[in-house]
Amino acid sequence: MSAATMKRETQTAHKIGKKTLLQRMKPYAALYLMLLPGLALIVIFCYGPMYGLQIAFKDYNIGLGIWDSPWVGWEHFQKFLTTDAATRALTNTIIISTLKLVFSFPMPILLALVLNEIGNQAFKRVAQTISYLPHFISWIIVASLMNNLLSPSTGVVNAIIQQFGGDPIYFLADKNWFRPILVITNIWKEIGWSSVVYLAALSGIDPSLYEAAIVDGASRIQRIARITLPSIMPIAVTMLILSMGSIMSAGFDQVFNLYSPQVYDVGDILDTYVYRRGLVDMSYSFSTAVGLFKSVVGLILVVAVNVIAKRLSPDHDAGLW
Amino acid sequence: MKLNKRILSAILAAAMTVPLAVSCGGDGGSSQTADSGSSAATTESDGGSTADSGEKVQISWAMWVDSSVEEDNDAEQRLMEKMPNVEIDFMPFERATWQDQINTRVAGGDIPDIIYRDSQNIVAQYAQQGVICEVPIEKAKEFAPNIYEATKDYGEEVWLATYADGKNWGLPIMQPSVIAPFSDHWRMDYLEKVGVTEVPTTLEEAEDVFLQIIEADVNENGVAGDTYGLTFRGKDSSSRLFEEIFSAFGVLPAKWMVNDDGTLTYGWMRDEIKDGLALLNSWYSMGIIDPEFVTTDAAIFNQKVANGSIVYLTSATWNRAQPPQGEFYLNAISGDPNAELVVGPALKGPNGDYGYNTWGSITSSTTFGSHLANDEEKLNLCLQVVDFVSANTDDAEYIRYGVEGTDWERNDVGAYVDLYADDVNKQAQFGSRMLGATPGVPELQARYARTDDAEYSQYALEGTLVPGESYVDWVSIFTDSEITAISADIEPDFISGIIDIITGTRPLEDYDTLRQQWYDAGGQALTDEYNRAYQEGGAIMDGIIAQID
Repeated sequence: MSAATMKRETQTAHKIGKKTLLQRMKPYAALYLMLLPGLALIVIFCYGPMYGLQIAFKDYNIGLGIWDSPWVGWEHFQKFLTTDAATRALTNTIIISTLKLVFSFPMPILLALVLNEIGNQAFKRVAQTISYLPHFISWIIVASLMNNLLSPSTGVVNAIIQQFGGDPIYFLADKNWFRPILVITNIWKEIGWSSVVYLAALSGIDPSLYEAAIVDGASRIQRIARITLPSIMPIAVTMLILSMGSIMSAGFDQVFNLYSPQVYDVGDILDTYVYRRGLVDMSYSFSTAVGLFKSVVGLILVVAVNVIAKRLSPDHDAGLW
Repeated sequence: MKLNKRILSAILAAAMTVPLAVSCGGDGGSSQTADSGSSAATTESDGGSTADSGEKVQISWAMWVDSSVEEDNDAEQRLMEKMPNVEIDFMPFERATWQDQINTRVAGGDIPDIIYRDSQNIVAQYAQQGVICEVPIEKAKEFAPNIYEATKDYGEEVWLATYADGKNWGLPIMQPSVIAPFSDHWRMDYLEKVGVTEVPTTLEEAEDVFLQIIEADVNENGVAGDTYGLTFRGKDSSSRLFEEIFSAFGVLPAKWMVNDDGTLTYGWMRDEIKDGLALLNSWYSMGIIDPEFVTTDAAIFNQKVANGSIVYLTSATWNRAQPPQGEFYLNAISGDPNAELVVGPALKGPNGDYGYNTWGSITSSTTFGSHLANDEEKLNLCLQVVDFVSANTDDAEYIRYGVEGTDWERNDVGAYVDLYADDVNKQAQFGSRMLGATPGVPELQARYARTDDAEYSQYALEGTLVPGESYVDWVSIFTDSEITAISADIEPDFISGIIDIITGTRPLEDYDTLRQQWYDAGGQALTDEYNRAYQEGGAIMDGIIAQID
């Protein structure tokens, strides 16, 4: 923010300060009234249920209800952070999420760029449709597909490996391969769908920019680097910030359907761990504590990445707010 | 004009907000009405005039159903026909998600009058959470006499299903058909192709048969070596990994085994496991065991059976008394007209040990909402309702299944056949599956069982591993879940090591290391807790049995 704009804003703020809040709201009374239903929705459905968050610090008892259950302080968090299996799940979650972010995040951008450069519209459309269809297949189906494709005895992938003289690999039961499989299947499933938003951003770029660049003799790569990428950067940053919020959720459906005890070591994430624990006892408080922990970490990351994005961008205007 | 616009928007906004607020409070409001309604009805019944005045007592009854059943189904009508003083509201929940659904409902303060409970530990949780009310056995004897009497024949220990914290919390459900659920199937057509006419009964015989079969192209697809002796659901049933083989060495891995000195040891920690692992490892290297058992779950197992790549199907039957679910893989083999499944006894080991996994006689139960603790009359009536539909009577049959010949019939082996099975909507409306989770006393269940299941039941129960003597199932009822929760944390690592030994990734000697690691990681505390519970629980069980005269 420049010094001039700051000064202007303080002046306006000063001027407004002379009126009372109600006086300032009055001209817009009708608008505020129209805001009410939406506000009520948010308060009732988004903030109301947060009342229940307190059970993370209580020993929740259905009979006693949320309010009357006894307080236990940080006990559930302590239990969570001192159990070996839980901390392993936490580590795995962070590792798997980070891997997914590093490898999966740029892929849709690449695909969008490639699709954007395709001249043949019919081919482009077909390619786009084919690439986003896997998004609509549930993980349980994908998992059984993968089981067949990656099978060491009958799978296509291992048939190819053997053709080239390699030994078959038991991908889904191999600790070294499990995380890469998660990342690759995630990319395969989501690449097309995630690229839709970038394609939309690409179609919004003013064609005259490209025309001018061509006249100036810019190569295709130069056009991508100087026009296309900068144009979709804001949306890419927004998507990155949003995906930081879910970094503590490494994909329950995916992991749950693909893992087995043999790879818990590298594949057991927070959500699957809490699920398995939940099967043993009705641990509402414990699950809430883990959920709250996840949300707080997610919120911190979102805010942090937002600040960083703002600092790094040339005009300090990137970021969500 | 401007003012009018403002007023209009204000009215609109208000109109949109009000129904929102109302709908939010709606749930609490309506259940309030229902509550006051039912208590009013009971107040009148306090005066002993319930039946005379024609005033009906509203009773809600929640349980899971394993196929679609309408909310308002005909079973409600049939019950009210026979019990005119109640207005029953059956609450059927889809089985897979029922636990979550009922917990959410209960957590919101909406507790049904009668609640099905899947196992004793869930009864204990509900009791501890104040969701259900105490039902002294004396009271059960008075108001649910049919169920009470039936427990004497079935085994009085079944009352442990409703025991928690020194009290009784409901009525146990008796299920003779699940006591001995599992036995194994052989692909007889494959056996015959290599000249074997009798199912193997020992590990040695089985090994011979397996070796012959994996050499030959028994599934006739032109590829030898794509058939395996056996596989296992290593992904979703890993704690019971290859229990059919371990049992031939005298141990069921996932059970708490009784030692000679009267103490308990977790099956996986017994020395016999090492002998079983040696055999499994050699079978694995010979190609008898499907190398992909690690990632096999129920669906993939089915697929392997359908592909004809497995000869010996473990855990393949569920006591055939309950057709058609009794044999798990009939559908999977239906694509192959030559496929023939034959049941066999559990395989015998070198010392003559054998036996199938059995589940204990203590299973599910019916419990009653905590609000009934203040409404003695209604609690008594609820007990009577449960007893009425559970008794070995024609009335109970009518409520459950309707009229024989019209609504259901018997097949050629005497088992019950639902005449509406082909019409899902009709079946859902008729409600013949409504009370499936609460099957009634054993004599009532026997009315609908097939008559030719003797052979199957015999295999399922025979053997040297005797439930209650070689191993005990009820001890977990008396353990502290704060301590036993550790088992879910430490077992996966142990099983992972076991798999490594079977596949030869780790040497057999590593079993001792794995075992020590398990004990060190919390297994010792777990074992101590089980032994404590075994001693104390035994005394409590004797006390309960003594209450049944």
